[in-house]
Amino acid sequence: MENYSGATPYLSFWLDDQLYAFSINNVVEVTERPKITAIPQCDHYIKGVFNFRGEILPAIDVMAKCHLTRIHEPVADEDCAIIVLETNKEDADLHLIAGAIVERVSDVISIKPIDIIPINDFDSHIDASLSEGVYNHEDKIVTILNTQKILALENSSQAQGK
Amino acid sequence: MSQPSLQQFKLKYVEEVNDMLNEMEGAILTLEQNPSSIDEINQVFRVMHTIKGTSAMYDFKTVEKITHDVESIYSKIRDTQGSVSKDVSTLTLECVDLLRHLLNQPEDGDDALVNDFLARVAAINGTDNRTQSNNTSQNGGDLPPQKNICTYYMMFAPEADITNRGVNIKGILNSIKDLGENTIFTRSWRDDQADNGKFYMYWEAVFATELPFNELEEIFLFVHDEVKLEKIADIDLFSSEDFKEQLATYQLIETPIDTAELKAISQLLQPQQPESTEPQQPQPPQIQQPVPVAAPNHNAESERKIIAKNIEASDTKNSGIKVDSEKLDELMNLVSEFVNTKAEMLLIADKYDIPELHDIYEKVDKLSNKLKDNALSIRLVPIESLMLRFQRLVRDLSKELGKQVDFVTEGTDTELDKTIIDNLAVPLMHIIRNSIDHGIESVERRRELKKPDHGIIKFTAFYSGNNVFIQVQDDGAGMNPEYLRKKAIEKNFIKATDHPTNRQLFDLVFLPGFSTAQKITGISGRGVGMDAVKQSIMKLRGEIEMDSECDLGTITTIKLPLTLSIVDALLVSVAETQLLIPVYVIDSCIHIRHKDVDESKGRIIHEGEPLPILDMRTFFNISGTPPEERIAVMVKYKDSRVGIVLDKVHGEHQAVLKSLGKYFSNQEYLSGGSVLGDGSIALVLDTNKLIKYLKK
Repeated sequence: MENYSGATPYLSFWLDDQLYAFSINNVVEVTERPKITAIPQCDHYIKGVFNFRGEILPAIDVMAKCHLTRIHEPVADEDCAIIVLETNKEDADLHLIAGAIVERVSDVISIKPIDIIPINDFDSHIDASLSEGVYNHEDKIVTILNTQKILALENSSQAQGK
Repeated sequence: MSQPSLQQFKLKYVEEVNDMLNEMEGAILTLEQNPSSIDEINQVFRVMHTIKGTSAMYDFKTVEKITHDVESIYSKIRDTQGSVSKDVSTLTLECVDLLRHLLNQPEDGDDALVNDFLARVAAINGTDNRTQSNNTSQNGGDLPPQKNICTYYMMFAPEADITNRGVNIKGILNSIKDLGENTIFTRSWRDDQADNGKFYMYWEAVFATELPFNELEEIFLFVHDEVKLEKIADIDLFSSEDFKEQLATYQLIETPIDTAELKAISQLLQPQQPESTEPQQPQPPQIQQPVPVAAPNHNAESERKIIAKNIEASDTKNSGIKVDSEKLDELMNLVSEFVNTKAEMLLIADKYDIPELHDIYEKVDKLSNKLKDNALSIRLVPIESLMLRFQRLVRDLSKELGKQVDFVTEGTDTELDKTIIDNLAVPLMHIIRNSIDHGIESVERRRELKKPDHGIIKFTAFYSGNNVFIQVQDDGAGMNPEYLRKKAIEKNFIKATDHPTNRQLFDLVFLPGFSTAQKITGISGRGVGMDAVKQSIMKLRGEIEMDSECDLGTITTIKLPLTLSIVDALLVSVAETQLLIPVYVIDSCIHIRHKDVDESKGRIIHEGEPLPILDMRTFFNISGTPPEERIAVMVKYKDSRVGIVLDKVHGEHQAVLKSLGKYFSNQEYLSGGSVLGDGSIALVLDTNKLIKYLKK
């Protein structure tokens, strides 16, 4: 991994045959084949909870959170991986930690901010507010996801929560 | 790691001094009840003395001056075997507050405050001086009381960075000079190993003092690692001219004093006491024991007892250490992970059928259970730790309001989780404040009602099952249900046509904006109080209730879980979902057929009685075929029972409760989750909320 002028590392992964990436600054760990326990009656984008080093963390279904519709057959839960993400570590009120369910983790790639192409709702398959833009990596399009937005709480009663 | 900074050492100093002040505050409050209690007088003296010493070391001149002056008051009281007057105890409490204040902002900004305080201390010191001089003149030609003086050797070899830590070397040396007769040697040595052959300073001192060894150690608390302290003899060697001559010869040499040599010399000198007429000869060993030098003396005798007691007291105090609560949380996490790993080990042992591994597993299992219990018990703190604050509150507030209030406690050794204790202080303060302000009547009013002048606030804590109960009871005015009703109608909390029970009326007190205080004082009555109290108790998974009888008093009862982090629960499952139901809510379990559940329309007949039931399959929207045989767990809800229908019961489980976090804060029927032995997660049902949720 080169770290030339201004480039920051991103962790890329596959989801429904597309490449996506999270900034590595938010990545705590990648857990392979986790055991996810479903929680009845929870928000649509949460698949359940899993045990991460003794803590109970929610597992976020990234597809559902981004309102994406599957084109390909889903990979079985047992073969998925979870990227544990964390934001606002310093502020207990805003601090969020959760796992994002992905199909397969790919590489760590260095991206210069200048190479990130902004997107809008018309030319993208994804809600533009959830993404920081796209990047052309070896002729494949990588959609860079906004970690904040992916982790954000959705339910209105939660949003008001302390 | 970087070098510990000056700031860190100052923080440590502040923390230690705060601890000592807390200790002292308790002693003063005891002294108010029992003004001549010698143990407490000594304790105050000791704390003042220690703070003085350490403050001198860090150059906190104001603190040093204050503690010095207060110490003198107590030293006089101690010497004259007097008692602590109300003025002195009030002044000492003010001293505690002033010192706390100064510690928070060490800049000497409040000179006026300090000077005012010192002036008052000086006034008391002056009057006491007079009484003391009277005493002396009465006693006439008596000899000064003989003290139990010992001789010590000390070497102080500071690290090169000592001044960076804010330690005032001169302060240390001065504190030795204060102790008694002394000789101090200033020496230096050259470090030939170092590149530039640095010179280092070190000091040696021989001194005689009446302070016992452990108190000397306290003086050097902050330079503990750099001080070597040794007792040379059990008598005051400075009374011997030969010894002083011997010490003088050490001034000439540049190497450290050989303490063995010093001890040998002291043994030779010991027999040469004025009374001894024997020629110098080897003495039988028992003479080297501390012998009461003069004829049995009353003062020296009691002095020694006090010292012995002091040693005992400080021993018990030193048996605990302070630990950051984050470290305890981390320990709990590690223990629960360890328990999970243990389960994996069993899986392997079973899979490959290795008997030896099974044996080891059993040992690990036993150990891990002990470890878990131990780790949990560390988090438990006796409720006693809160009492000091309350005693002070009652004292100050009753004085301010001109009421006479006795604060009685019971069961303060009851232990609760540290987190609960920490979060209880504020709500309990509020309740006690209410009792003094609105509960206890003025002395005149109490006389009218033929009650004793002194009102009583009783604080009781006790265990009951998996809960701790805390009660605050006062014998004051109580609440008038009629008045509450009127007020509630006025404020639109109830309709004029409603006729609530007394219990329901008392519950209104906990509603936001409902204040019954006839006048708003600075202390309470703004109508936010009891609502906030209830909120904080509920956050601790507790319940609060009030009961009152007009003119007889009010009793507030708080029910709390023993610990927030562990629950004894029954592990059950419905389809794939594993659930935990706390054992204390369970009444019984019964087998039922699914067919009966299906046709029941929410109610089955059990033991001849209709019983409301709740099928978790329906509640969770689980599809698929349920088993024919099912289980209904009967849970207690208020005065009735509700059957929760599940698929299977697996057994009891001690669940380490984990929060599910922000993502599930709207899942009211779940109070958390717990990681099971195999690493999977079970959800903990909050049946009260579940049933309430359904009734909505």
